[in-house]
Amino acid sequence: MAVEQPQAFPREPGGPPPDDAERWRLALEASGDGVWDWHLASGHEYRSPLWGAMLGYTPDETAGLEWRTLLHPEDRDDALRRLEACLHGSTVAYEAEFRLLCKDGKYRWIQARGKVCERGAGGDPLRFVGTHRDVSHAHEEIENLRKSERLWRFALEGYGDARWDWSIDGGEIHVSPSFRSIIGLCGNRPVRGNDIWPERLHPADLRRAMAVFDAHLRGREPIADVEFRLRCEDGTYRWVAVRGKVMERNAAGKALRMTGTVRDVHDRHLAVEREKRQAQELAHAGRLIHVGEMATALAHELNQPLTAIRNFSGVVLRRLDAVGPLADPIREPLQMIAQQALRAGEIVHRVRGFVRKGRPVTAPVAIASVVRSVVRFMQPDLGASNVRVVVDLAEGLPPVLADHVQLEQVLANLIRNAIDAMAELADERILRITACTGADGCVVLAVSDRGPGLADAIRADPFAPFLTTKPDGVGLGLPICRTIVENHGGRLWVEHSSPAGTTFCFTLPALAG
Amino acid sequence: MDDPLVCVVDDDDAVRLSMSLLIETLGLPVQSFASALDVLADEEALRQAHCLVLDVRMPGLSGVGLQERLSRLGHPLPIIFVSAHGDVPMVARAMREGAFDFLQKPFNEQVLLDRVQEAVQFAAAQRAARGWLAEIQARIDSLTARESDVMAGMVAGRLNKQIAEGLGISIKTVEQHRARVMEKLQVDSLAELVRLVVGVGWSAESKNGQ
Repeated sequence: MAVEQPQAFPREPGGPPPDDAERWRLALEASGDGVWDWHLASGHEYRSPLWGAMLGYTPDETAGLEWRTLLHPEDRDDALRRLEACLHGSTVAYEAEFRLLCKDGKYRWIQARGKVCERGAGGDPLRFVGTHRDVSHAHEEIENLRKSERLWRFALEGYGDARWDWSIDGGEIHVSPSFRSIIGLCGNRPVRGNDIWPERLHPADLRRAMAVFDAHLRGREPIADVEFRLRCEDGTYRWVAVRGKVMERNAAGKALRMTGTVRDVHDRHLAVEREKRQAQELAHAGRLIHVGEMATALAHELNQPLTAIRNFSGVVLRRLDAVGPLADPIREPLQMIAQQALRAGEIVHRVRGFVRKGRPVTAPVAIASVVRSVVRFMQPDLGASNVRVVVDLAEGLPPVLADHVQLEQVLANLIRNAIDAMAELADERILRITACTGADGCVVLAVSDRGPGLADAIRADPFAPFLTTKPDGVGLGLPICRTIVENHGGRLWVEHSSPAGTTFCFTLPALAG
Repeated sequence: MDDPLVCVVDDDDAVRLSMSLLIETLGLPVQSFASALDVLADEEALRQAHCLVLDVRMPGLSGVGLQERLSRLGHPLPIIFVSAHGDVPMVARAMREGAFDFLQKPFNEQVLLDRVQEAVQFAAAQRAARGWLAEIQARIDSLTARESDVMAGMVAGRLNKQIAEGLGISIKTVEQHRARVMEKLQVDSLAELVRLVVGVGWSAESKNGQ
């Protein structure tokens, strides 16, 4: 192929204006592209000075260069194939990227675009023109990007992080092999976003994880960062930490592509959970020890005056014997005082016994007598709070094996709570105590109030220790009640709680026979 | 005979006063103390005490500490412990040391009164027994050596003749000693004599050991 000697551009000032073809060449040269114009019939090829200059050749050298021999061996086949395709008309435009050998022995990336602009009657190409543009810089950047991506992958996978790349519209998600190994996914079967999200998410974590991703997709959070449980192939769940970021958005700001990492944090999560639980148990034990000390001190401090009350009552009762029948109206209430002093002492001992995990002193107990005695005992409170008690005990209730005092404690506590619950009630304050035989041979007791329902603060777990809505409460009433009931082999639960009232129920195993 | 005094020891004023008033309803004299050391300092009260109602935990000397001191001093006094704590090891220790009873505060006051009365009766019986023993011992001690030898023979069931031969004296002398023994020990028959001296644990060996 003969190559025309390149002419210097621009023409000397004052010369005649360039013709059309020359105008195009000028424009292209000014844009920084090298231009070639190949007349296939004559084999003559024009090359602009920039064509060679971008490879380091002088204009003189440029004309003599053999393009095909400059091609990088790796790029040659592709470049020639594209050229032939265009010349033979199977493609309209010629586009190729290849490396050409420079004068200094290095290669530069060249982007070539061209078109057959004249064909013969048989369609054979007569003239082929096009441009070369140096795109080495862009290629370097791409290569740097690839390198950095490789580095990034290496770094991530070095930390045990798996990668994912999610085309949000298409739904397809590319996951790295380590991701598959986390969830035990075999083979290279393509994965859809939906297969993982939300399909494999633990139902309890779904809402939280969705909220985090949603916040990021809507642009409210710079990154999505959330831990949740993923279901593995074997059906078990593993804790993973997922971080992700939207990499592409459309003009409207809609997220198109999101990519990120997954880290298996299962073991760490379990360890943290375990530590948290241990800390909670320790704190609980600490509080119990504290309660135990408090109970011991209280027991001593309360038992002394209780002893004195009981003794003084006894003294007066004995002195009244000398007075005769006149003293009778005094004797009975005095006996009540003496009785209550002993009862209070028993409660103190039992509470302390309970704190020390003491076993209850059980004996056959008639529910009716417990209910009667507690209601009588609480009558002053009930009266003061204007609460009417409705007791509805089923006929023929079997006796239960229970510690009478502890049972009274439970019932008194539930009644106390019911009274407090109705403190603000404008309607008639009715407290219902019912007992019946349950399906499994248990006796079921229920205490219902017409109050506004459990407060939000305790609704989630009304039996958690040290949770209270009462300004002077310590939050041990219900947990102690539940422990007592459970020690008796029964259950205590909230049967119902609404703005119309709350019902606490507990069961006690009936005495066989 | 001494009054059967009941001593109440408790550092809590109201408890102490109420227990004292209560025990007084039995018609018994009561003396109360705010500390265990006060009891130890009052020899007269200790001499007369038939029963000690004792709080276990008190500042200074504890109830159980007082029990140990009294035991070492040879005062086998019935002690009723009362405690607002009632720890099992404490109860066990007090009972092992010979406590008369252990009541947990607050208690049924009738139970306390019953136990105090039993303790006082027990102490009185103990004292009476101690007095009787002392009396018999005094009678035995009044015998001469020869009379004591003769009594040993009598208690052993020997005949006068055998005793005389054993001691190398005449039967008549034995009969005289025998009459003196019966007189000094204030008994009318040999059976009564044997019951008396055996009852106080006397024997020929113990006599010889004297």
